[in-house]
Amino acid sequence: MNYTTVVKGQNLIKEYKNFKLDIPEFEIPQGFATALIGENGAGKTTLLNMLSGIRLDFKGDITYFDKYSVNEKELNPEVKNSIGYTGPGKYFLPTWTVGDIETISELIFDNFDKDRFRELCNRLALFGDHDFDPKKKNSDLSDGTKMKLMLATVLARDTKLLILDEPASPLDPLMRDVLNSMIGDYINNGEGNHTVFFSTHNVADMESITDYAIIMEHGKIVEKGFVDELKE
Amino acid sequence: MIKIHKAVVGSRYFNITNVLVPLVFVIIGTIYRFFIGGVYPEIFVFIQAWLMIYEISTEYFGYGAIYRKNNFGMEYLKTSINGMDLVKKSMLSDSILRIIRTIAYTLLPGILVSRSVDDPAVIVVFALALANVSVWSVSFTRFVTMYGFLVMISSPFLIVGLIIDVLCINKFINAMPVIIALILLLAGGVIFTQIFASKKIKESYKDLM
Repeated sequence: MNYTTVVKGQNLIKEYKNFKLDIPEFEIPQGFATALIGENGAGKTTLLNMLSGIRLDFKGDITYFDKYSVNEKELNPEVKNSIGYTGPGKYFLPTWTVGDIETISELIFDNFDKDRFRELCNRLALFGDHDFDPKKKNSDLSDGTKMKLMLATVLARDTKLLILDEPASPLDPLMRDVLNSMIGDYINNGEGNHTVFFSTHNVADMESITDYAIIMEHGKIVEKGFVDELKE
Repeated sequence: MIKIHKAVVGSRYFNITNVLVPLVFVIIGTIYRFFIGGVYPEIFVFIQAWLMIYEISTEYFGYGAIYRKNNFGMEYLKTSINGMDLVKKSMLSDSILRIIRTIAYTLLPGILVSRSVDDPAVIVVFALALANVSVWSVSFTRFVTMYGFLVMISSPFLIVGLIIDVLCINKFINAMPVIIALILLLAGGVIFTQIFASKKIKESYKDLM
């Protein structure tokens, strides 16, 4: 299948005490939903952190949108702000409320749509049957609700690439279907220009929307390809 | 910048530490000065110690232990080109607000009722010593997760601040040169805090072993 790549990586190396991520070649096809599959400890979060700019201490080259290096991406607002990321760990300050997160998003992203954010919060049932509550503290939210809040913030922006670290893991089955539907809509609405790259350790969670799969083990890519080709 | 700072630390923390509590301190201090008059120096030093502990403690509820290894957090801000600049501006605002509020609730009650502890210069020393403790301690308290350790790790600043207060009250040293020294130290504290914060922000992009 012919495709353009939205992200291309070469000779990516990152070392920890007992682990080494070593990827000679890596690419994410544009306009598709790509799943990064691997067990816990395979290196998925490490790779996603490198791609999203959360961590910049690695060796190798990454090219975004066929044009921009890591440094160029970090310094170019149009490119940087067109990439959305959600991840585990310390994403928001625990003391932030939903209202604070909304205000901060408006301050740091020109393309953040407040109305769309609130609409997404409702669609993802962030507050259950209750109305939007800006005073709700991030630290009071369950893991699943925190993930929904992260997803609402990135989907409320006009982006071209979404990098999502284990988005389905903390969600209940009903919300996983909603998430899959949202990802499907995001890609379809992009007319070939919207790409989603997500990690998962359980393929079944997001199999229905996965077009391309990259399988990782012990810091290396062991298999990759379009799902239909891999199945064959 | 205030809007940015309020967004980063949270509106509740901002309103309590920069508006509500200072207002309460000013009102209590003014009422006390108006009805009772000057404050015995020994009691004022005791109040100063309490205020220093209060100022040190506020950091526990603000940024928290963001300087601990791999604990900076706020990764959401890293996904934007100006997210971390927001943090730097917020921290600068924090330093400046600490200076303004500590000087306000130390000096205002005396100014409002035109009474002071004998020598007005000593009150200025108190205000500047408190401001210095508040500004300098954050570069250490932002490493600490447990409240008890937070006060313990900041105790050297507290002790030095109180020693300066006691020496000035008892006129063992002249207040004027101390005021100049404390102003310079305060400026140094703000600059140090910003440089240290920038260093920690840069480090947060690495996985520290």
